[in-house]
Amino acid sequence: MPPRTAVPAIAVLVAALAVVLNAGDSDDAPARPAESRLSGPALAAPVLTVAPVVTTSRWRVVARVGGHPAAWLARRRGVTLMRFDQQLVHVALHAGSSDGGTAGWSYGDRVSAGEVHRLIAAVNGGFKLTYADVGFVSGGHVAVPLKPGLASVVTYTDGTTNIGAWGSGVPSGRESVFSVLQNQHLLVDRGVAAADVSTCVLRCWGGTIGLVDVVARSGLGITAGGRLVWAAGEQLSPAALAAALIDAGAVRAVELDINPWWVAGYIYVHHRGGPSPLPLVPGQRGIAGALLNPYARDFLTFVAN
Amino acid sequence: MFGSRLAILLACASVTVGALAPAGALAAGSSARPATKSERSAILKAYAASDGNTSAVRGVYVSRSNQALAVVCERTPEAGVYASVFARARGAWRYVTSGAPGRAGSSADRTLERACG
Repeated sequence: MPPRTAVPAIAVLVAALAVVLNAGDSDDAPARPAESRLSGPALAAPVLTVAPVVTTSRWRVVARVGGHPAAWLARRRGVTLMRFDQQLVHVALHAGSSDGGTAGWSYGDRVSAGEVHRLIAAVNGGFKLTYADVGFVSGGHVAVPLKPGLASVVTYTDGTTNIGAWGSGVPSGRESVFSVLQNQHLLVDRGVAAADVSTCVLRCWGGTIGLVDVVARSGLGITAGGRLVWAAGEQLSPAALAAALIDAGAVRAVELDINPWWVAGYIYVHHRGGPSPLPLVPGQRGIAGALLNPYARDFLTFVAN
Repeated sequence: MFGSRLAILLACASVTVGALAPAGALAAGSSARPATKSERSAILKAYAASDGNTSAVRGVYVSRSNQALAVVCERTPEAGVYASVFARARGAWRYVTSGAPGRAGSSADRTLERACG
């Protein structure tokens, strides 16, 4: 697993915290330089997460770590967006009980005990691993071998994540890779949507129920400053998904899973008895157990450092 | 007197039949019947090919008036019941439409979707 500093048990949340947290609402403030992000101090403070009372087009803080804003939520033109500060939050790639199987994974088919008290959000992963143009590797365990050129969510052993085309942008030669999720080719590169985003929908960006272009879709991008941006909606074309990610500052992005059954995200509100999941995408069909119970498909968790 | 006894007997019989009948048959109503084993297998194959989640399927019904029209009923964790309509053409089942029961597709589709309850 990414060797991040362990955090003490989570603090109990109370409704009054929403006021404090929302006091930090802001538009996209300048992101920290990549250098300071990678060398930032390890934080040993409780995660404080609250449910967004109202989701608007402006970024609103939904989680703080050690008092610092760590995750933001917004909704723009039918797209739910969530942004994460990688100095405070890291990603864990989980195998599903079908996508990857149950044996041999550091991060398996449910949120682990080591994550649960620091869990901020969890979202669906990529296409089924039986499909073409996918790859999945984690902790030295290979479910589907990596292929050059595919869009890749690369998490290094220092806990940082980058997104790029495998072999031409990622991985970094300086860092050791912990996990990689590959799905199709880059949806966004250099801040521009892929050229075939409107002209090759079904073949290039995945088959859909009813062979329609507009369907539930999701994606994950990274900003120039290293923040991660997740986007999802129930009625999106690849072009609309790419546009939403670019509008949110993504310079590179990968399309994650599509179609109504497979697009879902949760934010977790923590209580004394454990986290309570709240659905992120209006109209999402949902995942039984909200990823706290075993799930067949791969998924991503966003966990406080 | 005889009439009231008959009514009681019929009521009891109705309750008994209701208790014994499969839940699917009750949900299907008069416009649809539960799919046979081979129909269900073929329809669910088409459903999975349409990227559906077969683990969420709670029933598969075929229209009584059109044996080439079927509906897959799903119970979702957060969005209630969904109905996905399939039609058979040249021996193969193909996706037609989906949505909340009674709200998607043609009049015939919507009637069939109500089998999902």
